[in-house]
Amino acid sequence: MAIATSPRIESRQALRELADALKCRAGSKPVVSVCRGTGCTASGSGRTYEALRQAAAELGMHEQVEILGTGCHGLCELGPLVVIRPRGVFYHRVKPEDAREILDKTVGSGELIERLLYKVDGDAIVHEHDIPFYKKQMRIALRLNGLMDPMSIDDYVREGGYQSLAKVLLDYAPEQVIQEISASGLRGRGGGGFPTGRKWASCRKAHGDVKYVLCNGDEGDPGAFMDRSIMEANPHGVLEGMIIGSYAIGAGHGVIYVRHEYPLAVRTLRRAIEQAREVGLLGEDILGSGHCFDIAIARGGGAFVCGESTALMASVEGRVGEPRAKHIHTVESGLWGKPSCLNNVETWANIPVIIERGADWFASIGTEKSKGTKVFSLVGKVKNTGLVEVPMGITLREIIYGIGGGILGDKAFKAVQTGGPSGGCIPAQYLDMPVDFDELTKVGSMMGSGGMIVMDEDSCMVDVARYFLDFLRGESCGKCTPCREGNQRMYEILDRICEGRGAEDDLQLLADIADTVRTTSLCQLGKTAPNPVLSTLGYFRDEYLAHIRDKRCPAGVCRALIRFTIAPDVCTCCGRCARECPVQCIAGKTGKAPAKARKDARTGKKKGRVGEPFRIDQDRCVKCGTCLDVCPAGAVRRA
Amino acid sequence: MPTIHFTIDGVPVSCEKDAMLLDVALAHGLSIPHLCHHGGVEPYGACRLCLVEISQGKWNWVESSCNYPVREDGIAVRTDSEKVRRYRRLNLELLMARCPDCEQVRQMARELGLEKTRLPEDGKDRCVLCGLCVNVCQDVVAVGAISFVGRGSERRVDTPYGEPSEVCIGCGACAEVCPTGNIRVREEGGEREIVPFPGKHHLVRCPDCGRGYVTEKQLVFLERKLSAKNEVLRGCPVCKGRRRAEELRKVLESIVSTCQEASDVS
Repeated sequence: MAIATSPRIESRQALRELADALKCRAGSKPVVSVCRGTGCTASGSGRTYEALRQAAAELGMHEQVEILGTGCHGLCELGPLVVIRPRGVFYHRVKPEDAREILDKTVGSGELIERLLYKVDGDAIVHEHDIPFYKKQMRIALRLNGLMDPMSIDDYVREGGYQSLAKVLLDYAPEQVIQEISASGLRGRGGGGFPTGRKWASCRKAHGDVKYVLCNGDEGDPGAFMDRSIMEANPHGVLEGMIIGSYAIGAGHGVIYVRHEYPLAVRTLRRAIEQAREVGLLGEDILGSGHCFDIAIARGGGAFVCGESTALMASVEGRVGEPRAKHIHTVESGLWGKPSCLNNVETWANIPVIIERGADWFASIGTEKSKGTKVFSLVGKVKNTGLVEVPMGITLREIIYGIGGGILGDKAFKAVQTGGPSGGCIPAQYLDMPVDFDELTKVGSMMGSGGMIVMDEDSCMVDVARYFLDFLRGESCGKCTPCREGNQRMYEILDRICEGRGAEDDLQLLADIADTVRTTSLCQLGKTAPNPVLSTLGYFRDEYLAHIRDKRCPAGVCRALIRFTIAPDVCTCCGRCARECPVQCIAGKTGKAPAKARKDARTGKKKGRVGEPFRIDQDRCVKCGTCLDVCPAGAVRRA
Repeated sequence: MPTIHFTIDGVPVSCEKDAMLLDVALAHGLSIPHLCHHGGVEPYGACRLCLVEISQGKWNWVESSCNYPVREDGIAVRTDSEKVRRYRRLNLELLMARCPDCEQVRQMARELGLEKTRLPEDGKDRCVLCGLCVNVCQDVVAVGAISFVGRGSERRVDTPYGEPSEVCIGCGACAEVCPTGNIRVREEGGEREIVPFPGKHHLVRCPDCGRGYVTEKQLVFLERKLSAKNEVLRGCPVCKGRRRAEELRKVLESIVSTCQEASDVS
């Protein structure tokens, strides 16, 4: 498989010939592509992959079929996912036992395996591109996920990789590259949405011989995995973007900052860098153009604040990851005081495609001020959780209902939180709002790096705000007063309200603190941290008031405010609740329910063993809800 | 360096480009409350009390002045606007809850008409986490004996692992810059302690008066830094002053007597 690994690719011609040779060798051989992203790996795709390889060997098919382990396909909910190309047959929840049958039937004779097909309303869907989850997506940053082995530079070159780099190095002046990126309208995908072309232009203009190009892979939002999936599935796409950027800016060194919790991403990136160096796509005189550039990996320790540009640079330098004021921009004085251009993983992954297909094409996608696509990790109470890439301007409804398949258990939608922990909660009235940088900001949330957490009627919005503040108060670096003290105090107030000890004055105090933290914090972590509080206070004030005035949690989430009781007339005296109760606070007598026991005609007494309805001792109850879950008669009530 | 002209509270002022706004205000005799600013230490921007409101054309925003480099002609700075007072007051409420015993914070709050905070006063010490001690130790003395430990509200200043620092020279610069008196130098029985940090530093006695005046490590540090011999640094400041005064007296006396002799001759 290693055509490219030894000889250096000296020229564009050599690159083109190599791509042709690889394409020719791949031919029309069927490919069984197994998702080996983190989600599917967790569902056991590693074993499925091995089983497929073994089955291919046993059936003597290893020459006729390629078993390909790829990065994340996106529909993590249904993993392990397998797609058989070129037909595009999509199988879900594939187990090792299915391997032989897939090769025998589907690859061998084209027969479909009914049970592995994905079904919508009972109808089986055969092809990946017909599945609603994929149908409404538009994949640019994720375009090669599923098509290539992330560990193989050959696969990337075969799919047209590094052609954009060749085009840029040999046909474009650095200023032309910047012009192209500016014309595309690409804005930073890390959350800020700053125009990428403008950032590059400032960095090119900044004085200094030594300049740095940096990649932010410190994706710290709970429930977000866009960048991880890109790094794991298509590391060369990120590298190519960075090399193009380095040429445009005039930088000789690059750093990719990846969090320590992403070991697979670190491995794929490290391998990709080694391979690119071996063939001369990193290092001296790339493709004979005279441009020199190399990349190092810096691993973060898992501090959320290190995703902030100045904190990230401090961390790379080996100092405490703390932000500084950015009156002097990092494009002028960043890493080690040198002009530095930091972009997010997804931004870099977009660059080669923009160069390949042109700025006009990219600018034709999206809304007036937000161009292209955005990757979201769609999680929470939605049927199809996973990774989605959609054109800017798509509505929240299309993402949640069209792609996500609606709310789990067909419950009612309550809110969606976008932009990570410091985003805002958007209520149902904005479901038809187009999703782009500016629209999300208008309703009190933000694009952020692309987290999207769906909440249903069973979510308590005060509890949700408390959850995010709990995360943020712990992740604040603690440097400036409002962020350190303010987030802690807001958390304490929210906790008090959830515990039923809130007062109405607390709402004013919350709003005052939130306003001050937002306005006077040093960095964006602090400036955005009050969003969950402000948005829930704005859109769900009733819920706060119910907690404070009525000591009631409308969603039935806040433990201190709920009570479990057993309706004596419904209780069948089976005793299941008492047996399952972890603190043994339910008492009664098993037997026939008193209402149902028949009287003995002679004595007038009830016949047989008559039970006593079970009761919960409220003082000892820990409100775990087990009784509610196990009661076969539906006698347990939550109020 | 070009000169920038602008106004602070309506008063026209000028400064060199990139001068820090708080420094400019202080140099013009205007006062802006602050805790984490010190002339000898790089601006840090932690306490968020030196807030000002800046207007430029149609733009208007709140900014901390200690780390704001003045770059634009014609900006209008207000140090005491309604907005500034509101935000400063809330940050003081937060600090009062953290450091209920800190008189400096209370005084600043009183000046804004704030007697007490709406938050529970549950803080235990007088450290406002301004960072001056850490920054003076790291950047000015260049020793780095103390640092911030922990994140968020768990943040505190300490030596590595809370053990006596191996590199601390006991100079007491941290106590010198501490705006609230949370860090203190205590000398007792020939030893110096920097409270609240662990560890004791042996004091070298003044050869003249016998008083402990410098720690052993500090003396070694200074000798190395100044490439000077022990002799120059010998003696406590009081005795050294006395010795110098004595020398000076002798010189003056000799001059006087020379003058007198000259006048006698003539």
